[in-house]
Amino acid sequence: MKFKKQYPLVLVVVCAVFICTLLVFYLQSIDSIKKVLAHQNQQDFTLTLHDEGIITDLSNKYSFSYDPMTYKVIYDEKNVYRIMQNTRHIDIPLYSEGVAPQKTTEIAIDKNFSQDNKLALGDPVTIGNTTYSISGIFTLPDAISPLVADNGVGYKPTTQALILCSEEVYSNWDEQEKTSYAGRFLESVSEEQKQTNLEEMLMDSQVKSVMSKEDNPQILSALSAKEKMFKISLISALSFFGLTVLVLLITIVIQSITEKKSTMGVLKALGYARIQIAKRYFLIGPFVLIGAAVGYLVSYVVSPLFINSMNATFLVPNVTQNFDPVQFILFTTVPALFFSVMAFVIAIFSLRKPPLEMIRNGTSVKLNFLVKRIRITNPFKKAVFKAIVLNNILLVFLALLTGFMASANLQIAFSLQAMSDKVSSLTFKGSEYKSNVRFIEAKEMKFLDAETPYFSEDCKIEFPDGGVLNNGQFMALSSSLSRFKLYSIQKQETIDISKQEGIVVNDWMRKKYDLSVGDTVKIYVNNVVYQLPITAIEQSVYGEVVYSNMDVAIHTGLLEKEEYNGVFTKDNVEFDSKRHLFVSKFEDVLYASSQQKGTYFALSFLFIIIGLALSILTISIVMKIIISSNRKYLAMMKAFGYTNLECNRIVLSGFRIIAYIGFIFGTLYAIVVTKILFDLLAKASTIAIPMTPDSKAIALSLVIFAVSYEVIMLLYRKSMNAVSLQEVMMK
Amino acid sequence: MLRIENLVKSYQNGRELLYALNAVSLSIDDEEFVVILGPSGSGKSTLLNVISGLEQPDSGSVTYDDYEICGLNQKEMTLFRRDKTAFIFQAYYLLPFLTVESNIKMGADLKGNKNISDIIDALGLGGLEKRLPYELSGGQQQRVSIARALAKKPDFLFCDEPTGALDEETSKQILTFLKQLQKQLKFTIIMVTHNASIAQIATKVIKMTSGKIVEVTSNAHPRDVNEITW
Repeated sequence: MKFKKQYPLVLVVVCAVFICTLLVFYLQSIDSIKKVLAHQNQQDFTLTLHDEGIITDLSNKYSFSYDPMTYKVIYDEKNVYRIMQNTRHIDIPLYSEGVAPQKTTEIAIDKNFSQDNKLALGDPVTIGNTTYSISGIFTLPDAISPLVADNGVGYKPTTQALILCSEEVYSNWDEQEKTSYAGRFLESVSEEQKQTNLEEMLMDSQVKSVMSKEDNPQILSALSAKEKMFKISLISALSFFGLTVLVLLITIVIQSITEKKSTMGVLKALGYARIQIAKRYFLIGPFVLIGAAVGYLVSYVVSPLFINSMNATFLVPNVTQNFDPVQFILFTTVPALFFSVMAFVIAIFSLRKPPLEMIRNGTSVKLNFLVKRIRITNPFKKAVFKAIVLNNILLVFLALLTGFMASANLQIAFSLQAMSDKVSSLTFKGSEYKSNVRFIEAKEMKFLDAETPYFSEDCKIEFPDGGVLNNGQFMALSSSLSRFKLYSIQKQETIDISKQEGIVVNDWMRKKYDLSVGDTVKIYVNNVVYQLPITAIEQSVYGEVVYSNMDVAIHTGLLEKEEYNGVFTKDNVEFDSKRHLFVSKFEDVLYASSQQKGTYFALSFLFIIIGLALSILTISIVMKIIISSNRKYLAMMKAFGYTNLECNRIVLSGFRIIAYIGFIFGTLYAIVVTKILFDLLAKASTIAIPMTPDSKAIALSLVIFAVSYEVIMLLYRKSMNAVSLQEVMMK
Repeated sequence: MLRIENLVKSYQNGRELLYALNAVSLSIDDEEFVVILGPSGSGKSTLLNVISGLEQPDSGSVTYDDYEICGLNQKEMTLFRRDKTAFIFQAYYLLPFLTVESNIKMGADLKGNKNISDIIDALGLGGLEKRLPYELSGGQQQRVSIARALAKKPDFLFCDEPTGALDEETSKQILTFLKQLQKQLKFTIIMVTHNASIAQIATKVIKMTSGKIVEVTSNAHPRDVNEITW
């Protein structure tokens, strides 16, 4: 076997490298996340109590172990520090560098703060008037967006730090200590019992608040969300890459056997047995084996680039690389065996034909029904086009796949970007306030009404399908003063909250709980249940909030009290630790939005790279196979006086049409299938990604695909122009 | 008229320079039947390739009725081949996925020749139009390749061992068709062959050895195809 003639097998290696790199990267990431989860001994819930003295009784009653999460918050001119003791048994910090602080001169800082401020081990950090040395850099389960400040200011890794220190250092700070508890159910508690216990705790009058890990966006978004994202990526990679590579390899095998049909016919005529002839095709196995092994090993070189960028983007604990010999053997030998056997079987099948027919390289008997169609008189050019297309069903499929993959991936990428922009714009539209305030003490309603466009209350929401949101929020909007805007999903216009006689739910809730206008929802506030109908659905794709106007809230009884301690909108208010529990400002919303956009940009970029890489690889293979299998006929046409341009048009143009048909299918796929997938995702997560046909995304995808396709065609035209009759005759 | 002067064509074989054509000169009149004979490696196929415009010589000239083709660019050469020449090969090179009729149209379409029924009938291919090449015998396939070549109405027909893969009887049939159609359509045939017997039906015989023409014989009275044997 001459290597230079085995370009298809070189492509096998390229495909294998590509798919193995991705697979290893994804699998290792998921594996690392699981290890991190196991190491951290993550909490099942966070608990705050009215009276901290009852924690032991509660832990016995509901069968959980606990860790007091005591902390102090220190504000200096520039930064905010949440200082905690280094004595955790639940939510154990994961040190990516260094060790836990032991001395009074040492502290450990969180990874985000260290990255954003370029701080390394041993560097000094001054808190107040004291300077400490960094002994370790860690991450906690709530790594993406931990709570640092307690005045409502959103998380900013540049100016907010989590600090772990020794008991002595902790006690030196005079700030007020605050306490919550991280709880973890005992091993003996079943999953079902955990849910029951959580629900009972929610109703327990001794409990101020309880939030399960699943409902805690800080923890959920850090690792679970990443794991989910990896799984989605893995599934899409496997479905796109796997299918493509499988079809490519099958095409390559069939093509190489077809090209050798005449030789095989001669051998058969000479008396060689079918098995003797076919067994040489087992040789494809070593090529696949080498490809997969190289792919697996290359992944160790390439994946740190991915890992570093992903860790930097998503701020998640380090993904580590471990060589897994079992995985290595599986990744290399299984595909090698599969393709060896497949090539052997196809060869045996091809050898069923009489030797003479094989020597003459006759048309496949199986395709005769197709060939009959082109026996109808056609002009030469049309006949060649039809014949090439109809005799190469696999190539047609690959050409379709070319357009399909480019279209689907590019449009998903652009749609994600558009969705991110839309979510941001919705957030901005819906947040026409300068600051939100929550007071430490309850305020009299009459005092609040005058300057309160909206207020909210924590609640439990039960939906008609039985679904429950334990950490929901009920928000009442002032009909006249509210600057908190809601937009109708059906009418694409502002919802007039004053006309709503029930509640407004968002689009994520609609998808997750199969809601529609007219359904009745139960809202539990302080153990009292209120039943309200849904009168409108607003556009937000995330958020566990339902809305009503003040009149409905008062009429229903939700506001039948003289004092209220919820969230209020109040402009131009500065945080006062004696009066306010927190003051969150609109600029925090802007910052969070920009962070979120960065995440979607990274995901979109990944889809664009995958789509274009696969598309270009596939069309290259299609072109290569068409040209190599029609080499002598191209030469013949040229000898007769057909120009290079005519040859290109006659032989290659048909596949352009097919690729663009694939593009149309890809567009439909992006619209329909991803909508279904994202609806399913909405049910399993806390966000509903809207997938609507976007003409700009389609147009942009088409332009990118057309340019990529034509560039590849241009390159292969050059290769086709180089075909000469002498070269073919020499062979 | 075709005039060839001092054609030189060499190939690099490792460090050695091999001359496939070494200062070859000759002239061929219109409507001649020229046979080029010679052992393998004598340069006869290279000569055919160069004079038909498939290959460029190192030096020398090839002139068709005062039109010099050496030095033409690729596009000009393509247009020349489209206008003047056609080919027949030992391996036929029919497009296996096209019917007889579509294969013949490959030639006809180049010259806008809509009527191919005459040539189909002349070559005895009537009734085979819808067949695919693998459904034909070798002789039938060669007849299709002749029909394909002549459907473009060439002035020069270049034949590279057209009967090399055929038995004597079929070969004679092919040669008979060629002779008849030459008389009818008035084109020049330049044929490369190993078979010395074929030389007897030619009007000019060129013998080559080691890239040189060693003998040119004109035959004022070529024999009929049925009079020769091999």
